[in-house]
Amino acid sequence: MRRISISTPKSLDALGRVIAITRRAKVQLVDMVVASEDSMYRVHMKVEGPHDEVQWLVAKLDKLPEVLRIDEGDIDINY
Amino acid sequence: MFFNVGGSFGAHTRDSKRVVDKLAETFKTYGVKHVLGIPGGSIMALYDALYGQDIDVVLFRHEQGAIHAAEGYARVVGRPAVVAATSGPGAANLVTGLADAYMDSTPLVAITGQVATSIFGRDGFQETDIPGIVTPITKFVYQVRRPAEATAAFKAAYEISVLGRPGPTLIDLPRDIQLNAAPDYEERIQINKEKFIPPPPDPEKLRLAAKHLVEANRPVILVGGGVIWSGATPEVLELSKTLYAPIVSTLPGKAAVPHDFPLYMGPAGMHGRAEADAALANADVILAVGTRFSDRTWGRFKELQDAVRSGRMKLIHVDIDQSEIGKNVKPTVGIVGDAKEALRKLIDFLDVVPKANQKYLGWLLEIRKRYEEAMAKIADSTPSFHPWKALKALRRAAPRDTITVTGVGSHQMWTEIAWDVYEPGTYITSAGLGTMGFCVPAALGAKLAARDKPVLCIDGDGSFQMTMNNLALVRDYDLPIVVAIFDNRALQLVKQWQIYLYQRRIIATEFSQRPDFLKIAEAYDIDAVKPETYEQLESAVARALRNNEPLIVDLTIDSEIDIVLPWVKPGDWLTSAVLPEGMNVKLVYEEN
Repeated sequence: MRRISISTPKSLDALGRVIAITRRAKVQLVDMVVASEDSMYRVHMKVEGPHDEVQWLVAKLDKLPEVLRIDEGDIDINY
Repeated sequence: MFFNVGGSFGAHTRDSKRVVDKLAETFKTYGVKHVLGIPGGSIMALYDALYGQDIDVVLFRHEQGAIHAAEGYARVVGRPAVVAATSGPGAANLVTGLADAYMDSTPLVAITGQVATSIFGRDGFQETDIPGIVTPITKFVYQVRRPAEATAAFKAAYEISVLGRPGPTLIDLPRDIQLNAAPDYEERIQINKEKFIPPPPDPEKLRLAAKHLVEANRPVILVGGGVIWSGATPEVLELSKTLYAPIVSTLPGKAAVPHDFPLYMGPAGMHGRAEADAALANADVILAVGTRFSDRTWGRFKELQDAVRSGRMKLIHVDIDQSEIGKNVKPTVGIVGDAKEALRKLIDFLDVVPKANQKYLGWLLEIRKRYEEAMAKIADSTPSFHPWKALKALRRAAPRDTITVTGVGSHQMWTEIAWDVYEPGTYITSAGLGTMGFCVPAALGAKLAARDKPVLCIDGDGSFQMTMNNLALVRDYDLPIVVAIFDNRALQLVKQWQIYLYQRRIIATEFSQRPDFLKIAEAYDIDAVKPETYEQLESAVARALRNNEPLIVDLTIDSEIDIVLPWVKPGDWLTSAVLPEGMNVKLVYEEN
């Protein structure tokens, strides 16, 4: 399982685009938390699936101009 | 009978600039010369702001026509055109074009009207959640909620559409926002567009790629549409000459390389050329540039993946879009960067001049010769027009710099195989989405962008009928395009699949003889011909293109003979291409 953390502007349109990409990934979205911080949304996902598919998702999410920051890592990060 | 349009509309009584006036000014600062579309209630203010401005408004007959025209326009000038449509149906009619532009990496900016913010979500007249609809098929979409965002949103949409890998963008503009007084400040749109600026290509990876290429015995360069956008044609040709590497293309990449370059083998794939399929399938090193590894080019990926995994073949993939590297096939070396810059540096790393594999190149050229001979024989024995031979006649008729646009269907696949492109960027087709109806409007857009160039639309009867209403623009805006309709009265490519994959159970693919295309031409005040010989075809088209006159050619083709070959059936590997009768070659190379 991998963790993907994303920062977007505080806009449901931006969030909608993140979800639109994620639903096409060949991974299982185990968990997703959206936290609101000042003018930003922090999206934290736990995804399970083959490494290449997780990479596909990260690369596609990173193509969105609304994704201001994206990190991917091990799941043991506490969020 | 008269409505009071003053008050909140303020069209004639305003004493300050509206948001739309500021937008029109911004268009000009961005060099926008044309706005294509159809007005309607929710976008009238924007059109009103264009009144009397130095921007040409081009009125289409359907929004799909406007957006395909914007695609044709962008592919000629390399910049986005602006498409403006009203809310609801107007916006929804843009969806196919947006998806098409997204698949083929074409820049354009769509601006849709929207109902007033006060009635958002109340199912107002012509309210549609267009940002929600186009989210997966746009590079950027933004719904303006505050007046001060409008110009910033347009600037972001324009810049993002051309930065890095091009693509379509859309801004949705509620009616009340359009009519608001323009603030004297601009609100920042919170996005990261710098991410689209390609990084410098990794020199170590380039060095490794160069090593693989000079050690190759059967290298191939596979070029995609990214080569055209990057302007990397000179680098591709130089690499090919240095490495003695044949060049193969994707369908969009077909316009990247002059077809009279001796080492260009043509496009590979479902209806690619046999020598191109053979070159890809038998390569030991492939340098793939600006391509997304479409299943239409490869048939299936298993053989390629196995060969790369086992080390039998080295795959070098150069692309501006990091998400394409390894998406379908994991390369031996993946290089993110602009194609021109990466190839120029790659050339610098080629410190050894390899020897030409004459036997292999000779084998590929022999396949080409056999195909041409087989097709000539088939075409000569066909009583009616044969598409393959008709394209040869059209090619002779069209000057080298003719911008050729196609529809989608069997005629398009024949052009993939048999239409020679001489100048980079002069072949425009709907490759990724395969959108029937693309040809006429995209050709109009191309002509709008380059009035001094001949523009030829090679269409099919099915494809033509989907957007032929836009022919009105030929006379309205003096856009003299030549349309050659390959008229087999069928959805021929689907019918071909029915014949070979569905035991000839022909259903819903055969048209009646209606309409008469000559009468359609007459209705739009365009000359038309129905040639009976190849000579008549060639001479009519040559004359029209030479004289810059519009013409519609109704070319009768017998559906029964219109079987597009070679054909790599869906899910098959390249070497199993079905070849025309009499060709008698295998596409697997034997060293000894």
